[in-house]
Amino acid sequence: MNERWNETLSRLIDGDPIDPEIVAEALESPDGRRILVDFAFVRATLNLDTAGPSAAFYPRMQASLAAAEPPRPRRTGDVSLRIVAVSAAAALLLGIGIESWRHQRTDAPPPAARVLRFAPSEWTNVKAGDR
Amino acid sequence: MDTANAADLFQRHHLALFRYVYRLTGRRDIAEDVVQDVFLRVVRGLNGYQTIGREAAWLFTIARRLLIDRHRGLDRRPSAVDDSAYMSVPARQEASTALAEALALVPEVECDAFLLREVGGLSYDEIALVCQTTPDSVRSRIYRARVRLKALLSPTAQVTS
Repeated sequence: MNERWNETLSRLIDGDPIDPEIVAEALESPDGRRILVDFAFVRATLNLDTAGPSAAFYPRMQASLAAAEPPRPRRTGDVSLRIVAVSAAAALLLGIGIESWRHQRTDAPPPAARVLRFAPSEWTNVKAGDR
Repeated sequence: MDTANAADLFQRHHLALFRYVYRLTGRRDIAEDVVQDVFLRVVRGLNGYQTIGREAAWLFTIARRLLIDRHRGLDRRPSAVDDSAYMSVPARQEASTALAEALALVPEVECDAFLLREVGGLSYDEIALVCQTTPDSVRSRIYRARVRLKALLSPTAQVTS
């Protein structure tokens, strides 16, 4: 009987769902009431516990947390790096553009310096050296 | 996780974590080391936050794993460390000593579940997750620990026994 009361009353003080009939049965008995009081005493003893870390722990903890954080790159450096990268890309594109334009210019035929016109006429024999 | 969030978690949970490890091992130095390691892991993101449980359950899981890894087979008897520097009231010092001695006599699995409940404030389901067991087993462990502790600590139980 005590076993069942112990388990039910232990669950009761933890807020776990229990069978109310078992609780009623336990609390009607002086033994059951004593179990509940004893459980409450155990909890109260734990609540009296004021154990905590030593005073030296806190500065040690603060230092180790600060050291553990990975160093963050500065935001200004981050922006500068982006500007340099964009400038380099723009310069590269500009260079490629100018170079391809120049290639287009040299490959194009030069403008005509003179125009030859051919007029139809009769066939004539010319001696060597008269041309 | 950044340092600001970790500091916030530290403020809210470090005492419960410390008391859990301290009461489980009886060693202040180990408790401090474990708490420090828990929060270093949190900052370094070594244990990703799991949203399935509360943050307390997550922190206690890390603490428990660290404790198992580092201090397997540890003698759980309370050490002879003087608690007087941390106790302002004699009655509390006496209670603390009695508590340490009583907890040392409770089997480790029962003591573990009991402290996760009483010190950590974890629910039976959360304790089951942390201890990788079932909620029924947790209920049983906690009630058995309570019965042992009431026999060891309670004045009425001592009078009647």
